[in-house]
Parts: sequence; structure tokens; C-alpha cells
Amino acid sequence: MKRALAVCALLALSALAPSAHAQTKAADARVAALVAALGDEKNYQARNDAYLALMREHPPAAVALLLESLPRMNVVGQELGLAVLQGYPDEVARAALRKLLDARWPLLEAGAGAVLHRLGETDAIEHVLKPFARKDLALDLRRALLGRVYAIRDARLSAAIRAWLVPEAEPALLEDAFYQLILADDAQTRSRAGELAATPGLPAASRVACAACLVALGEDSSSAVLAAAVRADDGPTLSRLQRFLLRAPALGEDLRAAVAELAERTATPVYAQMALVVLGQHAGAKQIPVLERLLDSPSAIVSKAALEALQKRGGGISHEVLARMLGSSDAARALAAADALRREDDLAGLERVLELASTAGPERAEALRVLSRFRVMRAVPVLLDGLADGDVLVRSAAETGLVALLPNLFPYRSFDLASSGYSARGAAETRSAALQKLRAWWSANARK
Amino acid sequence: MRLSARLAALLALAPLALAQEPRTAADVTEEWRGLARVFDRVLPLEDATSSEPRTVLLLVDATPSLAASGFADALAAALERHAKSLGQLKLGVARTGVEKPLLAPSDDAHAIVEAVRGALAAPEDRIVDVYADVRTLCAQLAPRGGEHAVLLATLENGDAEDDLEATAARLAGTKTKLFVLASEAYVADCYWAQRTYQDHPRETQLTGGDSAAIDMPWGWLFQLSTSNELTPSGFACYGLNRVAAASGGRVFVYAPPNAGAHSCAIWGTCLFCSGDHVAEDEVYGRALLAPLAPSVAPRGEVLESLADDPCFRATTVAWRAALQSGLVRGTPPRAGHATSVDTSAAGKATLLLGNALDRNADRAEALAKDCERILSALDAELKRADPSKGSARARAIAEYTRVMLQLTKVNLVTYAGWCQEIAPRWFSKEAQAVQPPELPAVRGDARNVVIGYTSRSLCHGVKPFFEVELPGGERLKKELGELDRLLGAYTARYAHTPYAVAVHRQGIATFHQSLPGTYVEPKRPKSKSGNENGPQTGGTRPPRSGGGSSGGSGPATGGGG
Repeated sequence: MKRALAVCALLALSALAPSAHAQTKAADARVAALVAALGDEKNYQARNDAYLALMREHPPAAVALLLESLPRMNVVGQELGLAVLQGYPDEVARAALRKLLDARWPLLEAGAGAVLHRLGETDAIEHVLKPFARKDLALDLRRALLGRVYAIRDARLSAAIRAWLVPEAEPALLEDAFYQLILADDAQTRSRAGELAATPGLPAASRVACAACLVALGEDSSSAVLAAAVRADDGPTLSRLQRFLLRAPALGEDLRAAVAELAERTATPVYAQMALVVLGQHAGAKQIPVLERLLDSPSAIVSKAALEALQKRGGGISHEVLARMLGSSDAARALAAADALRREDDLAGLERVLELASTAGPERAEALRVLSRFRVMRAVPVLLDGLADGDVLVRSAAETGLVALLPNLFPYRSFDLASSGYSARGAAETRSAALQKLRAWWSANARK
Repeated sequence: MRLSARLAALLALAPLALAQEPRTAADVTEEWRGLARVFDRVLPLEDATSSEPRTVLLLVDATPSLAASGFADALAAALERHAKSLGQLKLGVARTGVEKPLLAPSDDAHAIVEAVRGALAAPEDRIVDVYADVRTLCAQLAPRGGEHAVLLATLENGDAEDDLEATAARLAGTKTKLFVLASEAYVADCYWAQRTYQDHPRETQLTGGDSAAIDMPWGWLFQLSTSNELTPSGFACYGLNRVAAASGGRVFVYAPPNAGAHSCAIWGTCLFCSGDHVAEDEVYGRALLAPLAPSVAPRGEVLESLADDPCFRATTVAWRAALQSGLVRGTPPRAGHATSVDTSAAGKATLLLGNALDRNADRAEALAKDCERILSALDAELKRADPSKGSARARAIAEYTRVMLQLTKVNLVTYAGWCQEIAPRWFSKEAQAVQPPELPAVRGDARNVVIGYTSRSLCHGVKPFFEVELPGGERLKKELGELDRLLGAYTARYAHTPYAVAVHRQGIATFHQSLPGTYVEPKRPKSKSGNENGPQTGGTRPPRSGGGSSGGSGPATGGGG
């Protein structure tokens, strides 16, 4: 009898063995496919999905595959691969990145060097500098290099970037280089921008890049050039310059006027929104009427941005206007009003937000985002319900909201929502099990 | 008949003249309407019938902030506007801390602007005694005929005082009017009083607040920041106001464009927003500000009048009692004494944060009783005080003190609650059993844990705290309710003034595990109340040469064990 049982057990094990092996093989194949998709130049969606999956899972098997395949990938693939490697546990990431410090692959060398430098390996800056000294790099590679060294403050690096500021440089490269130098607090940037701007025959777009840099550094006299550039199109120029304008201590009246005109005139709501963000920081008395008019924009994005800009400028939006918006049948408008009232410590919109956040619909994600900004216990169960929604955007909004809200309501506790196993993008069964744990915690800790 | 009519007219004018003598900072402060307005007010001849030219000396305190303000460009534009007056107007240029003038009085607009640009081309950020420079310029102006004026442009100095009354006398003696372009000061600023190690020019004392004395209690227990160092007053510093007032001049309080966004908790964190709070009651109303303005009388007179002020007397009694208990660490003003940190009071506060949790809870309870006692005595005293005999500012400070006493009581109650309810759990030798999504509150070996605190800003009021899980149970709820009541009444009265802001910059303490590391003092925000651009307090004050490097953090204690 005993022998028969043992035989059965052996048989069972032998039956399992190939299956486990097959599973491992399938998992390895999936990781290999994800890494390969990262380098897929033609299928943007596949590359993006692969990137998200690798970032979420960080599978150990991917490290060797990435090291092997990254040198063959294009600029975007290499940038994504570096970001994935950076997310591995410290020792794994450092060891992998050190293997990329090779002069044959300038972006990987500079990118890995920059990460190691930020992790405290000061010598790694040499690997960052080498690619910047090369003259043979294409525009997209140079711009990608600048993206890798974001805000690193190093005098030799700044000097190398300044060397790229020449009249024949592409305007887009000039913009990126100027912006990096501003972030690095480089003292010579102002004079270099001034010199370059004064170069006879400099292309107009390059002159705009110089002016943007000077305005960001507080040189008001350059704002006329930017005003003309902003007026010249329907928003693409502003979308490029916005980062400079948001860093500027002040904008000249002509530039403020040009941005306000664009906010009203553009047919693209996203550009209007960008202009309104700038006005939220810089609008003067003459631009306030524009913001007020845009409160009634047919685009909810524009109307919301106008509301936020007005509040930031101390525009004193009347309670009647906000009450009218709160009662609107347009959920987006009502949410914007509720959020605006909350910013003024008026919780009159909470009930409407709770209602919208509890109801399936196109605005549920935004309602959950707005709800999480009301620091009230009543928001928690609604956000927990949001974690079970069928739409990943709604689940993500609920997840982000809870991450922000819980530490504020419970300042004596530490939280990591992922410790429950929950991820808005995770598999349905995993999410469901994790949600049970979260609900159990809430049930035990909700203040009665 | 004609004589008696003129006499009558003179008599009628006399009270008017008396009424016009500046008594408070509000009387000498010009509403900010841009740099152009400054020059338009300062440059023209006051007496149009005068045959002699007016001489104005520009005293430029060439700091990076002034260089970035567009001062030189605004001057160039103003000289263009006033080109016709230049025959009757001569401008000289001098730089603070530099004995020799950069340009003798001249009507050459180009030379004037270039001299100013030259000074601003190499700005310095150091502490300078501007009053000594003003006296020197007065001596240079004395032999000249016609009207005299000095325009002192200083956005970072004025807080290093040598002798204000000698400066006022020199200005009066040489019939020189002093106009000042200055930054906004903080209410009863105690920044330098807390940093006595700061180097400063010989024979000067660092002051800097809007008032002649630090008349608002400071250094409250369990507060991460000091309101006196962070609350824009709406006025320039006392020293500059005093000398400008004595000379019949004016003070222009510079408002930089986009000084920064409102921040609920400048050094701590806000539990109730993510930096998007619109604190409308922080936008100052000039009409509300004026009655609360500090005096510009000589310092000795101000201290005497404070001693006679029933509200301030009541505050001082409460302040001394709070100091004795260790509830505050800054000393009250006293003639002939510099205000400073009371080491004994500060030491008492440190004792509270020792390792023995039970004893700390008992100490906190005892101190909460002290708060109650002091608050009750202050209330009684204020009820007896005749409001007509005191200043509005002293009343505001007394009411601020009441709120702070109740807030400190709340903090002591919640601290006692933390000692009893939370700390034992954190430091238990048993592993902390927590369910996801919670993590253990203490990481690493509990025996080596360092405890710090942070202040949760009162910017959103008290009510939101009822939503937050805080230690202290029903007792805390009751004290929070009382704080809500007091703060509600206080805010109703002091919204749109610095006194509302002063309370917002204080908060309810929470206690947490600190990470060991080097403490770096955060930069102090640049003072800027927001009349024009909505609530603003932002920008940072760069430390000046030899500037501070310590202090101001939440104290730390070893964990239990």
C-alpha cells in the first residue's frame, strides 16, 4: 500500500515537472518579447505596453536581455531601457548600468553615468562628459543626451553644453540646452544667450530660443521677441516655450497680452490650457477679463484652466458663478467648481463630487481625483469602490487618490498601497484579492 | 481784519498740520504702484516758485535683488519723462558702504543712469549700515541751496541700526527729506534676535521688524517656524520708517512681481491641500492694515507707550508667565535690553522631549494646565482693559497670544496622547503587526529611533483637523473645539491683516520618526503680502554673507526603549 502511494506521488511529480518547466519557459519567452518590443520602432503601442509591464514587474530575467539588446536599439528604446534598469533594486541596477559605460554607445554611456553619478558615484561624471564632447552625434541623440543629465549641476558638463550653443545649432537643441543650463544654475548662460541673440543672420527660431532663455532668467527686454513668436501661430510655439515662461520671475506686458490672446483665439483646447497655466502665474490686471470670459468656454478643459488661473491670481471669483457651475448638468464643469470651492476651504461641492465619484460614467476618474483632494474620511470608501471599476483610468485615479489621501488622514501611520498587492493595471484576480485586504483594513480602522 | 482772517486761517490749519505729522508706519507708507511712481513722487520740485534747483542724491544699496528689480531702467525712463525739469533738478549717485560718491549732483541724464547701472553691475549681498551713509550724504547736501532729498534704495538692508535718532536729527538739521524704496518687513521680526551670532557692522544692532520692539510673543513650544519671522507686515522695517517719517519723507514698499505663490506651511507640511490653497483672507486690506500699523515714534517713546498700553501690559504678564513655564522661548521687550532667546525657557522645552514617555506625558499635562491658567488670566485682564486706552496693534497681539496659548494647549494634549497611545506601540519590543496597506511606523531598531515633530498648518482653520486621526482622544476633540471657537472669532476680526497670517503660519504638531542627517536651515521666504496679485508669500531670502546656519528645526529626542 505504502509502495503504491509512493509510486503515485512520483507519477504526480513527474507529471508536474514538465508543466513547471513549460511555465518557466513561457515566462522567459514573455520577458524576451517585452524586451524586444521595447526596441520596436514601428509599433508605438506595443513598445509603450512593454515598457509599462517591465517597469511594473522588473523581472530578473530582463536585465541580461536588456544589456544585450539595448546597444542595438534606437534612441527612444535606449531611453526606455535605461529607465527600466534604473528601477531595479540598487545593487542590481548599479551592476547593470556599469556594464553600459562603454564609449561605443554614447547615450547609454551618458545615461548610465548620469544615474550612477546621482547615486553618489562621483567618478561616473567622466562617462557623462565624454559623449557631450563628441561632434558626430545626430540631433535626436544630442537632445536625448540632454534629457539624461536633467538638472545635474557640474561645471564641466555645463561648459560642454554651452559649447553646443552656436548659431548653426538647431533651434530645438538650443532650447533644450538653454533649459538644462538654467536648471543647472549656470552663471554664464545669460551672457551666452545674449551674445548668441546678437549674432547677425541668426535664424528667427534660434533667436526665439535665446529670448526664451533670457526671459526665464528675468531679462524682460527680450519679451517682445517671444510675444511676436507666440502671436505667429495657433499654439505650437507656446507649447515649446511654456517651460521657460513658467520659470520667468515676470513677463512683460506685451508677452502677457500675447499669451492671453492665444488662450482666447486658439481652436485647440490643450494650447489654450497651456496658455492659461502661464497666465495663472503671470496674468496682470489686463488679462483678468480674458480669464473671466474663458470661464464660459464650451471646452471644459479650458473653463477649468481659466478657473484655476483666476484663483491663482486672486481673481475673487464670485460665489454665485461657482454655485452656478456646481449645479451644471455638465459633470466636468461641476467638478471644476467643486474643486475651486475646496481650494477656498468651502466644502459645498463635496456631496456632488461624492455622487459623481460613486457613479459609473465618463467623469468618474476626474471625480475620484477631485474627491481625493477633499481630505475627508468619507472619501475613502468611495475611492476603494473606484479600485474595482472596470476602467483602468478610473482605477488609477482611485489608486493615486488613496496614496495621497491616507497619509493625510492618518499622519501617524505609514502606508504603501502596493503592499496589499493592488495595482490598477494588475490582473483582475490579483486586484480583487488585494481590494479585499484594503477593505478589511478600512473596516478595522475607519473612525466611527 | 485781514490780519485776523489770516490768523484764523492759520489757526484752522494748525490742527491739520498736527494731524499730518506721521504717527504710524501707515502715515509714511506709499501704496506700491511701481517704480515709475517712486521717481515721479521724488524727483519734481516741491516748491514750484523756488529759483534754486532741487538736489536729490540716489543712495543705491547695490544688492542682487535691487539689480534685478529694473531700478536703473525705471530711472532712465523717469529722467526721460522729467527731462524738462532737469535744469531745476540735479541728481547725484552714491553707493552704500562706499564713502566717495559715484557721481556729484548733475543734470546729465546719461551720466546719472550710467552711474546707477555701474553700481548695480557688481551687486553684493552683505549687511550694511545705511543710516551712517544717509548721515554722510546729509553733510554733503547741507552747503547746497534749494530743496534737498535723499532717495535710499535698499531692498535688503535697514535692519543694521547704529543711531536712528542721530540720523533723524541730521536729516532735520540739514532740511533733507529721506525717501526710501524698501522691502516689506515682517511683523515684530525676531529673526536676528534668534541669531545673535550673525556678523554685523561695528556699532550696529540687527533689528529689522516693522516695530520698534519685538512686541509679539515668539518661539512657541512645538512650532516648527516662528510667525514673527514669516508674516509680512505690509510696512518697511521700523528703522527706515522712523528716519523717513522724522524727515517728512515717504517710504515705498517694493512689491516684486510674482514673489511666489501662497504656501500654507512654509517649513512644515499641509495636511489639507497640495499647494493649491486659495487663502483669500491673507490678501491684506489697506484700510484694515492702517489702524494696526506700528508707531514711528522714537524707540524710547514707543517702549514707554507700550508700558502704558493696557492690552500690551496684559500680554506682557502672560508672556512672562509663558516664558517661565517654557511655553515660549523669546523674551518680552524691556527698555535698555535686547530681546533674545531665554535659554532657561528653551531648556525646559527640551526637557519635555526626553526619553521617559510617562514623565513627558505628565509634564505635558502640567504645562497644558499652565496654558489654561495663563489664558484665563489674560482673558480676565483683557476684559478689564479699556480699549480706548490701548492701540489696535496691542489688542491684536493680545488676541494672537490668546489663540497661541490655546494652540499650545492643543499641542500639549496631543503630545501627551502620543506619549500614552502611540509611542508605546512604536517602541514595543514586540514586532508591530500591521495589515496592508499599512507599514510599520518605525523603521530600523526602535531603540535608536529619533523623534521629531512637524507643524500642520492652521491655514485651513481648525475644522479639517476633526477628520484626522490624532492622539489625545475626546480631550483633544474638546480642546480643538475651543481652538476652533477662538480662531473663528479671531479670524473674523483679523482676516486680511498680518495677524490672520501669523496664526496660519503656526500649526498643530505631529510627531514622527526623523531620519538622522545634517540639518540645513531652510531659506526664509521673502516678505511679500499680496495686495495686487492675490495671496503671496513666496520667494526666498538668500542668506547674506555670514548668514545663519542653524536653529529652527523641530527638536529631536531619542526614542523610547
